[in-house]
Amino acid sequence: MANLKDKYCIVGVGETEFSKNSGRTTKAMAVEAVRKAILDAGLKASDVDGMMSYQNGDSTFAPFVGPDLGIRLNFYMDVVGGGSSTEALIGLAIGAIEAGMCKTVALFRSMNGYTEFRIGGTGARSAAPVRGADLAQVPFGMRSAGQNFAMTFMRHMYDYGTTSEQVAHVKQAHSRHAVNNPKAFEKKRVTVQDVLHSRWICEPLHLLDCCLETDNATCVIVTSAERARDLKQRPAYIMGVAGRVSKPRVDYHWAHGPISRVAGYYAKDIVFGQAGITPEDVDITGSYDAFTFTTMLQLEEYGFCKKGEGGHYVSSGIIELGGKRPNNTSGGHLCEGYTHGMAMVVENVRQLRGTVDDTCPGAAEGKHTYDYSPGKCRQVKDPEITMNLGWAMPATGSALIMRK
Amino acid sequence: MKTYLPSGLPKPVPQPDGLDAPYWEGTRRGELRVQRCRACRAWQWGPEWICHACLSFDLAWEAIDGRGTIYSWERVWHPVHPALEDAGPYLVVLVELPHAGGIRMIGNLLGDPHQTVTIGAPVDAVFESHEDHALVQWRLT
Repeated sequence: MANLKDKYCIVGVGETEFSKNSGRTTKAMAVEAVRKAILDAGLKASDVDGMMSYQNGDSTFAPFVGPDLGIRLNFYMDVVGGGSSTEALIGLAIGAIEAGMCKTVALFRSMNGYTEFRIGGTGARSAAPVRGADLAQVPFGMRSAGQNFAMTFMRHMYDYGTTSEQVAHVKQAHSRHAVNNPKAFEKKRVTVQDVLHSRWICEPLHLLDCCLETDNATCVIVTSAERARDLKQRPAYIMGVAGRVSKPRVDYHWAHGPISRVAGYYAKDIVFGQAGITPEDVDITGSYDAFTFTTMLQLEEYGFCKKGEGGHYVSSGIIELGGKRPNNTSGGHLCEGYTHGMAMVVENVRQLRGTVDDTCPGAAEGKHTYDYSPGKCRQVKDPEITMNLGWAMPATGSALIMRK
Repeated sequence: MKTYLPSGLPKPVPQPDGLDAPYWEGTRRGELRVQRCRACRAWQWGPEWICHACLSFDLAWEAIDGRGTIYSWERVWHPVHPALEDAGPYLVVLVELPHAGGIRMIGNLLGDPHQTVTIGAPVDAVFESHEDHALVQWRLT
């Protein structure tokens, strides 16, 4: 989209509460998140004429959510997918608008990720027969996301000397951010030692290396820069987007080639090429922190440090508020809540506006203290450029660069 | 029938089109078979209709030497299936097969689940019998 740089924006964001007991349908939550994003943007419902969502057979569909909101859709599409979908769908929304199919697109993800569909092979999923690529893993008791990624982490430690202690800094940093985020599900400071002393889930992953599971719906609204001009919020301009970029193989990705190479390795040239910037120009990163070490792997592959030096990067203080390039200032999946990546885009939009919802008295007007001590500010001072690093698994990734 | 993991995990269902049938037939006879391209001689795992190196459809199944090395591993504590409720810890290894072009396979590492596991350690394929199929597992040599 080199010629579309800065021509599209995110103009509205919204979300429901992060909980472990929504007691609501995914449709009810999606309606609330989209409604909030429309109000946030200063749009009328009838201004939104496109809607997209992603899901894994665990959620409602755009054509059922739109009409509840008084929206007649000119374009809708619900795709299969979890992590890495947000950024990819933002790119597709730009394409739909550019093609003249619609003018303004609301994207949502709604999931009862705790009360209905938890991670791994539990619940209804446990009874499904094992076919295809699953035959190579599931009979050996390997089926959860953590199990799929643990091999990669173990090999990374062997190849590069990375340690559990280094990656535990990711949880420590994100927990410090979450304490300053009133809507975070887990508002408790966690130390590196807490992570290392938490029980094993799948060695080398401890319990606190793994993200939360929550019920939540989240929405972002994409429209043209021209349409954005007279809306309520300062637009977050889209400089570059890469979506569902994959390794040479997605199934059996561990069977061939270097296992700790993840899709960001391939996505970086696309997204930085479009934006015309380098990692050095990015002020805030938003990584898909399904696990502590996935943050490290993505930062490495997108070139924020050299391959193999991710352990040092994430434990150096760079990724914390007050550091050179904070990561997941909301607390991310590890601490804020888990909705397959969209919430980290929402956070970066608010950062670019300067109106992050911390407890600073003037936060809504963009007045912040920049005091990052517990319970205070989490607004980064005057960020110009943010980047989101989405991922679904080691073999698939997406990315988004925005500016104010 | 002694197996490494308890019974109750979903039963493997070979592909209805027969693509991976030679693999499952081999395991029942104590033979580890993988695909090799007749055109470019590349090895591949898992089973596919096409060689993903040269895109030839002319693939053969070959029995291979079941000696390999541990490329990576993990020790699983948290159950991810009701049948595994009291099964942890157990070991899953990713084994590299130098006699088949360095392709890798996943299996369990037999023996003490608390053992120290070393990347690079040599292992050997073991065929674990189940009611109507066999699984390829690994033991240190």
